[in-house]
Amino acid sequence: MSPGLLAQSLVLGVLTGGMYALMAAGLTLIFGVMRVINIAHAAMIVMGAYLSLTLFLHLGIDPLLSMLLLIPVFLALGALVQWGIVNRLAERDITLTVLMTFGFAIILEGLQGAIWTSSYQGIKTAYSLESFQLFSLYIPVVRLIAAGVSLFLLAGLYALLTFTKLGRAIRATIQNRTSAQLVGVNVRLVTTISFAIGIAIAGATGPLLGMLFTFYPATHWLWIGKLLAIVVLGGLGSLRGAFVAAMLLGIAEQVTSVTLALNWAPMIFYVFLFGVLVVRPQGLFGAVERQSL
Amino acid sequence: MRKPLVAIVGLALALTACGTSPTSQAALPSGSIVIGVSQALTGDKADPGTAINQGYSVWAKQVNDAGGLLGHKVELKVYDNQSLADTAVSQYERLVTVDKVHLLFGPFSSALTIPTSAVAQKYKMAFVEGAGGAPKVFERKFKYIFFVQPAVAEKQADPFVDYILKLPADQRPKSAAYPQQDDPFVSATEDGAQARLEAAGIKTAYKQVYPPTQTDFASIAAAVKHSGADLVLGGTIFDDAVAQVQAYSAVHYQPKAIYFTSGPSTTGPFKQALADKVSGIMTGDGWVQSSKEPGNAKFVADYLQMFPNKDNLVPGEAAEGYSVGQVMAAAVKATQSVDNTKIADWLHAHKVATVQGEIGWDELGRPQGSYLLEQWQGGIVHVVAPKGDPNKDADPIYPKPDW
Repeated sequence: MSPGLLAQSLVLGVLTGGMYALMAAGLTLIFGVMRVINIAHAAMIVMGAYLSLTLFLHLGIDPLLSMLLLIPVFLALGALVQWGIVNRLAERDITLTVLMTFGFAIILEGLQGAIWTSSYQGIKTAYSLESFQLFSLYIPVVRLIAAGVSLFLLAGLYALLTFTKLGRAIRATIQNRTSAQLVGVNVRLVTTISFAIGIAIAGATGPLLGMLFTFYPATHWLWIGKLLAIVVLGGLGSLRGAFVAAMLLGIAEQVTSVTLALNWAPMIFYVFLFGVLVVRPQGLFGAVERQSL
Repeated sequence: MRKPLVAIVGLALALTACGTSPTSQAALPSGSIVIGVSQALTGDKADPGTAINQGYSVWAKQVNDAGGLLGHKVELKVYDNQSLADTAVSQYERLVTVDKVHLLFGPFSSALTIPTSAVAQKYKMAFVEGAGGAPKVFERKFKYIFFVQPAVAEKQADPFVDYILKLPADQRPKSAAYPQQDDPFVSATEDGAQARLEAAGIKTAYKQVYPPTQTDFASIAAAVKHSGADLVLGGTIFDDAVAQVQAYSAVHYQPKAIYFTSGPSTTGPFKQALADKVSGIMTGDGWVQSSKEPGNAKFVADYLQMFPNKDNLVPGEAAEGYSVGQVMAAAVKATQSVDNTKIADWLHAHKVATVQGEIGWDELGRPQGSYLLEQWQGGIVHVVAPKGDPNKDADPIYPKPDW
């Protein structure tokens, strides 16, 4: 393989990985705080893509602008779902939430099929096909924007978690729920807010997904597999881990599809995952789980 | 314990007997003649699937406006299979056993025709279809299948390969790329063309098969560009043809010639998705909008009246659907019945005039003609080869204009 093609696939991998990181960020945050595996996460991202497409086609609202509209909508939706449904189940039996979010994913898929049909869609703006040349590399503008916006939002999330009181409360809840409660953290409120933030990030990623990839109601099954692989590889609940894993897998996927075979590209996620879990069962950045038997 | 067991076994046997009993619907109805279709109206084959159904509708309207078939109105009973093979199979089962339709028309593409034609064969229903021409459609030696295009899938790219091989040596492409979807129709077309091009010394610079669910074409475009191929033979259905063009254009890749197995002939949606970028793209088809075949002018006019669009384009699949109707109507009239066995026997022995030309079938339902090479030029599709064809209305543009 020529060095030019390798460089090109590395660039595509980094840009795609940046977006994967944002997609996985909400999922890992929700797991960290609640120990809930949100199977409907990708279906919510696809929902964001559909809403953005509708806003673009009917009102001419640019997908990047529609992100700003979708964030508060999904924030409210997330808070409502957490407070109204997930919380009640999680208190009884955490494993029930897997079934519940699985069902929620199917409902969202059905809803999308009923409203938008199962035809393939894409959000094509005037700048969709633009690219610029950097030495011998072509950088697709939309991918660069998606990666840039993803990094910006991830940086915002990181700052929120690191430098604010709410962020400290969220991190405390992730580390040890009971101790956080003992030192006066309103764990219930923090949990609801974290869940809502996770869903809001999913909603914000929707327009980016819609601009970069073709989507249809059942696409979320392809995505949730990838996202779970990223989150587990990075270490459940670790934002930093999710970022590193997303970059690794984004690059591995692109390089594989140009060097080995396209059919191998989706599989590389799970090959990586399997390899890492054999050596480090807690994932790249996960803390070792200590649980009483 | 024994009684329930006997009952279950009995029930199972009874159900098996129901499932396999031949129910070739034969009697002329007192009301409308109902024709059953399970179509890819949504999902990844939605655009061509919708187009073929539009062809069915134009045919049905014309027949009904002219007083019906054998004095009966025709009525289309359509289900949406979402481009899913399993759904299509159960819908054809339902059409035959529950809805008790009198006749069947096929779905879009070989991938759905292969499993559904087995249902038609089981119930001895003539399966007249306009879009399933892969070898696998015919290798089970079904008696009841009839593919209504000029030729089978393996031959679709023949006029394109003939054209490329006739180019002067100094202009001929040196190497070719074959990015293709995992699909039975696509692989039949691509493999045949690749073998001929390789035999003539045109190297294979890139060949990759991607799943129908492929949503990201950036790395494919990067790899095709870096392969240095000056000819692209894209094995596509529709959405992937559009996505390939967009991805090539984004990396400023300019092949000398580009051919897609399917996609460019779904004219309206293809142009809507790609605008000027359609220019120079080639495909193989049995029909062109300007065709001089008898009845074509009326078909085109009626289509545009029923399905008006700003570019005034009629998709090739609509003509295939319309031809399916023409073939079925000829057989019903000739046999004076909706007896599907009689219809199948008659079709095996006769040729039928369609807007795609006269089509006749061998004992396996394979048509015996050849395809046209078509190219997008000036916003419409022209027939550019073979040379002697009466529908040829332009010369090929080579190399293709830049994107």
